[in-house]
Amino acid sequence: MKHLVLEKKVLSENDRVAARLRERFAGHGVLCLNLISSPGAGKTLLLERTLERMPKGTRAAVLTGDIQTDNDARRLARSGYPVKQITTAGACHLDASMIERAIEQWPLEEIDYLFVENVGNLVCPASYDLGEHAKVVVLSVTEGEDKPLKYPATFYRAALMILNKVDLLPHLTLDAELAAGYAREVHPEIEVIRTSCVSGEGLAEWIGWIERKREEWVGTKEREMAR
Amino acid sequence: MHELSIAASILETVRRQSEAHGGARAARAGLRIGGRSGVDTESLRFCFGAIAAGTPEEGCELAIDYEAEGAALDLAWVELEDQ
Repeated sequence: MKHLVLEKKVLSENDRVAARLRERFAGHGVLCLNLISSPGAGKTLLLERTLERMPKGTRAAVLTGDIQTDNDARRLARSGYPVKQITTAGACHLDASMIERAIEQWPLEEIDYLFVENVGNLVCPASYDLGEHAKVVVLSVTEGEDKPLKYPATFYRAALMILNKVDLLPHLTLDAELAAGYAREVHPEIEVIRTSCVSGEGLAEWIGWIERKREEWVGTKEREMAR
Repeated sequence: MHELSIAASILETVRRQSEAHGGARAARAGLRIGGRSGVDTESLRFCFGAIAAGTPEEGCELAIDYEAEGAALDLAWVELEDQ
């Protein structure tokens, strides 16, 4: 019997492409955020509101993933920003090579913020690095407090949890603090922002977070390059 | 579920090792899987068995070292039969 030591990550091919994307984003000053959630948590509407409220002239672009249809891309395109639909035709998650193919024709030097809306799925997207700066998990108040405990892989990897649809809280028994607590149990450093795309609550905070993160993660690179 | 594409990645790597060693049959592949990797080990075994059927890798056993914490998804080793 020949015993061969490999110590190879199974998703090393995806990781290779993701690393390549990460380098390109860094080189062109693009902040890339990977939005993950269950189907129906409100990712698309949140992105619509985000694009509406970002300062005029913001250089943003969106990739949106779905198994079928380009409904989300159509909605988001109304914002006037560049939007592309990735249709996976069966894959339950986006992977790095899909992102690489989608941005082929895009001038990355003209983009400061790239939002990637993943396929609605709280399980699979967690395993696939897309070269993003951060994963953002969107949890709707209708989903129950213990989702972070049920889907730890996703919450463990997310830098931010958006607790969405808080305008519905008066109609629900959900304890928002408990939901945040469970998320921190799985990932102590996770930040939490409560939002409502109906009342507008938390949207300014969310946009502030995005801009701060670009400054933190991308801005330093630009300052270095300018020197 | 993506256990299928993960199984395919494992199969491909195992096959390449086999080919690099004169076609020696892969008897076992050692995986390290963390609870936070999001991968279901039973599903993975099933998918691997399904796609290996009828190929030179048929019968290759997956030896899974499962750790509840951590997010590992590694192919640690492959055992090839002597020819």
